[in-house]
Amino acid sequence: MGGTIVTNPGVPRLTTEHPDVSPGTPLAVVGLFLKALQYRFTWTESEPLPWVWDANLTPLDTEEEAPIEGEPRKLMIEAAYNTEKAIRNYRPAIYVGTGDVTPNKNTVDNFVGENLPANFRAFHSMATMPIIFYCDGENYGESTLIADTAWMFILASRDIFRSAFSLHEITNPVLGQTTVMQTDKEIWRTPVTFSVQFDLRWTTRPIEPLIREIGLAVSSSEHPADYYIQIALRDFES
Amino acid sequence: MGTPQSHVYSRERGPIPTSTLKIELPRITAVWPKRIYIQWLLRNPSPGETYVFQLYRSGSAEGPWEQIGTDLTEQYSFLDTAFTSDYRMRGADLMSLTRTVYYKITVTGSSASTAETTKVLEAGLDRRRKGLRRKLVRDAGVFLEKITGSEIAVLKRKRWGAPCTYCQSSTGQSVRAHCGHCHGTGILGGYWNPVYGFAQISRKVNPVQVSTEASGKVETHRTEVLMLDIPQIEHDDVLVFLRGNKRFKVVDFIPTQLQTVPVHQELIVTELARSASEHKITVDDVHSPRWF
Repeated sequence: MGGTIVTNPGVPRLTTEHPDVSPGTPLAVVGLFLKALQYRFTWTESEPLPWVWDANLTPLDTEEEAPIEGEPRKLMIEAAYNTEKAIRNYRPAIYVGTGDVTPNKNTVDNFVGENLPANFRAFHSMATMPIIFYCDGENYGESTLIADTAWMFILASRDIFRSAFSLHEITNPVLGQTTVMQTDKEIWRTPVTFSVQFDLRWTTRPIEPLIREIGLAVSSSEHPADYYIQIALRDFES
Repeated sequence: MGTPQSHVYSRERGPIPTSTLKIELPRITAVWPKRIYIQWLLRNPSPGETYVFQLYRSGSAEGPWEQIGTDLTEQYSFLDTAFTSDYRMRGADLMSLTRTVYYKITVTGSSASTAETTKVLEAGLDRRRKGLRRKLVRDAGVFLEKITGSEIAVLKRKRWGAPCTYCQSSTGQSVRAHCGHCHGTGILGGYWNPVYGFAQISRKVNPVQVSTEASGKVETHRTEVLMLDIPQIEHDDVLVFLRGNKRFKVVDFIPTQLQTVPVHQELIVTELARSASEHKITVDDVHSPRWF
């Protein structure tokens, strides 16, 4: 996204993300697409959309009176199931959620290599995470048009998102059927669904040889206490 | 606060002056699905005077009105056949179980005496029940106004009219729920003129229910409202309680009767979110500048 949405290089995670949110977790990926949608629906003179994202949803003064032709309606774009936000029942809105994350097994036992001297074993998997945009509106037409805008945005920007967000794959999005539900009034919801794939890598090291190594070092050492201090400080240079 | 009072609301439940010129609509009968027969009756006419009638139609008791009969003389009935059943909503239609149509008849005499009345499409009551209904409606109206009710404005949703050119697609659906021209209804204006009266929210405590779903915390508040059967309420009509400007959308309505005479309407309503498009509709005709 050319620096518009800044991510950590090589991993799917924003640079401004909370440190507790690890790369590739659902929260991290939702944050990426939240930023992307908020960018898409930001007001631009060259393409005046009827719905404009704004963190401040207070209606414009012009909304209170006779409308000015072309004046947009504010759009809320938030993470799905975000119960911490104070605003409720606001429409139109887009909520970004995830489905079940499935790690695919591309190799036997996910095993890809081993370092015999150190007993390190390396593993790799490809995680598939469904992403869902819930596009809510107070009538059928508004809901389906907002969803269509988001859907086309994802479809047309797949290759840019893959490189910018360090994703292996983004499937073609599906524009779902608009359905109705009843809350304070009839609300129409159109889902946009697609999946993302990203790499998972991890290593293991068997613990028992390590413990035996420590025991051997302690028993053969003239000063066992010094060796314990080295372990505690992880300082093996001295 | 000063209470706007609809002429129709107060007139329909009040007693009739006996000596003034008056016009009644004793019969408004539908011949489904294309025609409505309207009959009117002049009370206390003066001998030798000539009278000219004007007939109007609307979807609400307070208009705006569409004139369908101009300068009618020597006739006391009219057959309204101008129901087009145009599914693009351009013309009034009778293709629904809950369609309500209002008629207004005005009379002007050669001595400049005038009278007018408004009435909804209904089956009509026999002579005995007419008197009983007037008494019951008046008593219920006084009870709501003086004791248990609160001031309301009824916004009846338009079911026909000129399509909104700002937001209607080729499929006839509105693409902007908060369109300031039609309020998401697809018909210019969106709602008929407000009808003011009194209603009572149910005495049962119905709390605001909060649930969690994909949109976060969602609030719903359903309650019951009791009001007179004037004006007749339909699904998706909006009730505005003027004290506090709380707005409710009608989910269901149950006409109730006393001694087989329709007097009340019990409504199941749901409170609209503060950001709902219906909150943009102006209803305050009392204050300047308007509060809401």
